[in-house]
Amino acid sequence: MAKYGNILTLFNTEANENKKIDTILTKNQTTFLNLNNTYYIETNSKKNTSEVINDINALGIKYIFFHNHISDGSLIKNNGIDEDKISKINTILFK
Amino acid sequence: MRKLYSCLILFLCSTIYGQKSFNDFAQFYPIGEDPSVRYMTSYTKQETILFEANPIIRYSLYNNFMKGLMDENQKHTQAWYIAFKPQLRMYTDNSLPVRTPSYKILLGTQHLFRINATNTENQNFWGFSLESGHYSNGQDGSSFSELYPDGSPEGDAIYNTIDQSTDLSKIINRRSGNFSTNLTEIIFNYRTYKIDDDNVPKQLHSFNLGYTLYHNRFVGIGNFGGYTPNDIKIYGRHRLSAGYEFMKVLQKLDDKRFSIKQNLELIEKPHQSVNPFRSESIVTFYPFTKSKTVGFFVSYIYGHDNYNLRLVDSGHQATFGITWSQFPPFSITNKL
Repeated sequence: MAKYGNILTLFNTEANENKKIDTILTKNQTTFLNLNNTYYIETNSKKNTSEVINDINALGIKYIFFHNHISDGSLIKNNGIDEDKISKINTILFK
Repeated sequence: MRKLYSCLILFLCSTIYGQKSFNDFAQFYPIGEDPSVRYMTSYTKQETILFEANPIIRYSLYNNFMKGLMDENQKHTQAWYIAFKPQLRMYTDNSLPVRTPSYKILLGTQHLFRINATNTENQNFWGFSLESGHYSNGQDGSSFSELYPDGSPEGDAIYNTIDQSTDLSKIINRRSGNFSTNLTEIIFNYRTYKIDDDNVPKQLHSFNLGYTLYHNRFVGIGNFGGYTPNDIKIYGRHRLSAGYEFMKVLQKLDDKRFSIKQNLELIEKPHQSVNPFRSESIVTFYPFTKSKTVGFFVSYIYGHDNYNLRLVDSGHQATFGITWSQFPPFSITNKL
């Protein structure tokens, strides 16, 4: 099963919206990490990715979803973020 | 001379434009033969084939099949190229000679057009390829005598002894007989895919219809490399072809896949001793999921030979070998 890395950014988030997103991502069997309303999400297939997006759309919230189609050769630059979190993001997005 | 310079400048501009593009990373060609190396049985007892190699090389000028097909909004994808298609057979005689190798040098283009699918599981395309250039075997002997050079009065006189009842397979010059023509080929293709959860094809039905014209001028302009009036009566000017391919990915076998192909060719009015019909049935298995292009195949051929002058041979052939797919399955849409 192919795996894809995705980045979801939420805007003007209300308190319970993060919980709804967490529920959607758990229900669709993804692996994810939330940092300041930016979610790093590993999906199992394009169909799985599509189901996640459909569920988020149904919430009617403001967001940007980036689906990484080709991950080979990509990298992350950061400053001041915990190394363990960067390592997990790397795993979610690229491995 | 001015035309030659214009063509050269056009070629260089196209090449430089192509080099700037990401598209040149991956060059796929959905229509046409795949390179192969194969063992094959012989048509006649006069010679025994050790193996045949078909190392097709395409020098890309522009190719956006991979990038374009991965974009649902792109309805038209295409490639422009110069193709070099040698066909080499080694025989089991002393020193294992490669005899009368074929060379096709062609200017070519291929196009695919996305057809809106009625459901999300299907991706459908129609397309065509157009190739024009030179086809010969580089030999300088008379086609029907090892004693005389091609074009000599003695060599030409032999044609006067040939009538429709002559068995050409018995008299062709298998060591150095000349074969030469210019040609243009157009193939129309319709293909319908079923795609999996990752938009990668898991099943394909592909249909081809083709027409090949042997003509005297190179790409209709240059007055070189054509046939002689005597030879074209033997080759036949018009060829029709049809093909079907079924491909299926075996998801239970870790995405290994197989394909079944049936290709047919019909020559219109060749010499009476040439079998105008040719059929090739091919079964290919692609066992490597990390290297999707590599496949192993077996095939059965009935009808005329396709090795330049040896088209006068006919019968049955069995072959097996290795091939490299020019259009392996990859994600053909970016829709989510």
